[in-house]
Amino acid sequence: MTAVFSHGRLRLYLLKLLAEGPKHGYELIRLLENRFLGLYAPSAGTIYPRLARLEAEGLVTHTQAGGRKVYEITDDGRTELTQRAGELAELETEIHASVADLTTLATEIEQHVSGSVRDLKRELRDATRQIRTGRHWTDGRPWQRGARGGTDPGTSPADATRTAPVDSTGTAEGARADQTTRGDHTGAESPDTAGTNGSAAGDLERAVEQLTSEVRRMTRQGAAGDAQLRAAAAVVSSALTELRRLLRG
Amino acid sequence: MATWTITEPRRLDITDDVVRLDVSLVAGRLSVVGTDGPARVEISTPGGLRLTVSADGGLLSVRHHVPRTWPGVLQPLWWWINARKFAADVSIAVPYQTAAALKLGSGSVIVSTLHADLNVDCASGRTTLLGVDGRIKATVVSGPIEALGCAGEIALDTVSGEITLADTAARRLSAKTISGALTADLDNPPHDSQITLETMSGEITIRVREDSDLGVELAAVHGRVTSAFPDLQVKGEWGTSVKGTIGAGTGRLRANAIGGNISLLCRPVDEDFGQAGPESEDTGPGPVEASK
Repeated sequence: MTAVFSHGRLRLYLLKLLAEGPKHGYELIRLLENRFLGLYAPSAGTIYPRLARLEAEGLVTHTQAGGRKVYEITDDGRTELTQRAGELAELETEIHASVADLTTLATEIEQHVSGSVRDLKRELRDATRQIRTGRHWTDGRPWQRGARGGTDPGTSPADATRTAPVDSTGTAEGARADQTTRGDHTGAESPDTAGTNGSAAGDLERAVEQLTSEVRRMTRQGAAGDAQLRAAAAVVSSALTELRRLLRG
Repeated sequence: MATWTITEPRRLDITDDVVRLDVSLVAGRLSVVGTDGPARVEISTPGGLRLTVSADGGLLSVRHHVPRTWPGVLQPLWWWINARKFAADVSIAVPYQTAAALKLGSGSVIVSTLHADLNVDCASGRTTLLGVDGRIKATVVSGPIEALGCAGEIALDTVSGEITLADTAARRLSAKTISGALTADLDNPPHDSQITLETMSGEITIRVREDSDLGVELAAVHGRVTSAFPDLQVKGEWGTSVKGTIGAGTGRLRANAIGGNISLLCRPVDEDFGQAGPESEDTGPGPVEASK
C-alpha cells in the first residue's frame, strides 16, 4: 500500500489535502487513514517532518491555534499543485484502484494487521526481556540482576537478521555490528559505572535494543532509497572497524 | 425495499442510504469497511446456503438462512460436518458512520474504518479490527482478536484466544480472555481513560506512553510483575501486585492475571509535532506503518 506513495507523492497528497482547507496534523492522518480504508495510517513521525519540509520550501505555512499547529497551503503551494495536476490525477486513480476490489482489500487488511501485530508483539517481548534482565526488577528477585544482563545468546542472531536489510553482507555482519555496539557502550560507560557491571550491562542491552528497533522501524518506513541504505551499511561497518580497534586493543 | 437472493458471485451497489448494517453468516469470511462512497456488497463466494441481501429504510442486512440442524447433542456434529461447506466470502463497504452488528459462526471477521457502534459476535474465528473508532464490542468464543489503531470505547471478550491491541487510543478499554495472552499498546489515550485487562492463564503485556496519567493496579496471582516505571511500588510475597501512579493519575489502568506474568512497558513519546526535526522521522509509532 505504501508503494502508492513513492517518490514524494505523499508530499503531493498532503498538499492536496491542505488545498481543501487548513488542517492540523492529526486531521491529516485521519483523512489519509480514511482514504485508504485504514490500510495506510501514517504515523505522526511520518507526517510532521514532511510538513516541516513543505513549510521550509514555502509551500505551506502554519498558525498556532489552541496549542496545535494548523497548516495552510500558500499560493506557491497551489502553483505547485496545479503544475503537478497530472501526477495527482494518476495518484488518485491508483488510490481508488487500490480500494476498489473489496475482496482483495479484505485480504490486505488482514495481512496488514496481523503483520503489524506480530511486529508489535516481538518488539514488546524484546522490551520485556530487557527489563527482566536489566535492573528494573520490581518483584524483588535480585539474583536475576546483572547475572544475565550482558549476553542473551537467544537474541543476538534474531536481532541481526532484523538489522540485515540495511546491510547487504547479511546476518554475520549484522551480528558483529550488534555485538560491537554492545562493546562500545561498555567501553564508554565503564569509567563512571565501575563496579556496577550489572547496570552497565543493562544499559548496554537497552542501547542495543534501541538500535535494533530504530533501524528496523526506519527500514520499514521505506523512506530511504537504495543509495541511503548502502550508505547506512557503510556507516555500520566503519563503526564496527572503529569499535574493534577500541575494544580488542 | 430491495431484496436479492444470491446464489453465485455477485457485486451489488446499494442505492439507498445505509445507516445500519446487520450481517449474520454461518461460516466464511466477512469483511466490512467504511468508505465515503455509497454502500456496496461484494459476494465472491455465497456458500452452500441461501444468502439474502436486503436494503430497507437505512438497514442493510445480509444473512444466511440456516436450515434445520440435527437435534440436541448432535448439533455440534452437524456444524462440524457442514460449516466448511457453507463458507461464504462477503465483503461490504458502507459509509463511515454506519452502526454494524456482525454475527458469524465460524471463520474470520475483518472490520476497518467504521466510526460508529460495532458489535461483533463470533463463535470461532479470527477477528481483525483496523482503524475502528466508536463503541466496539467483540465477543468471540474461540479465536484471536487483533486490533490496530482503534479508538473509542472497546470491549473485547474471548474464551480461548489471544487479544492484541496495537496503537490504541481508547477512552475505555476492557479486554478479557480466559486462556490467552493479552497485549495492549496504548498510544495517546485520553487523560480519563479506563483500561481493564484480565486473563486467567496468559501473559499480559501493556505499553503506555511515558507521559501517561494513570493510576495503575497490576496483580499477578501466580506470576510476576515487571514494570518499566521505577516509581511503582511492588507488594506481595505470593504473587505480585503493583500499585501506583504514573503522571497525574487521572486515568485508570487495571490488569489481573491469574496464571501469567504481567509486564508494564514504557513507550517513549514522539517528539513534539511542532519541532519535528530530521530526528523525529525515526520516532513515529512504528506498527502503524503499512507493512506492504
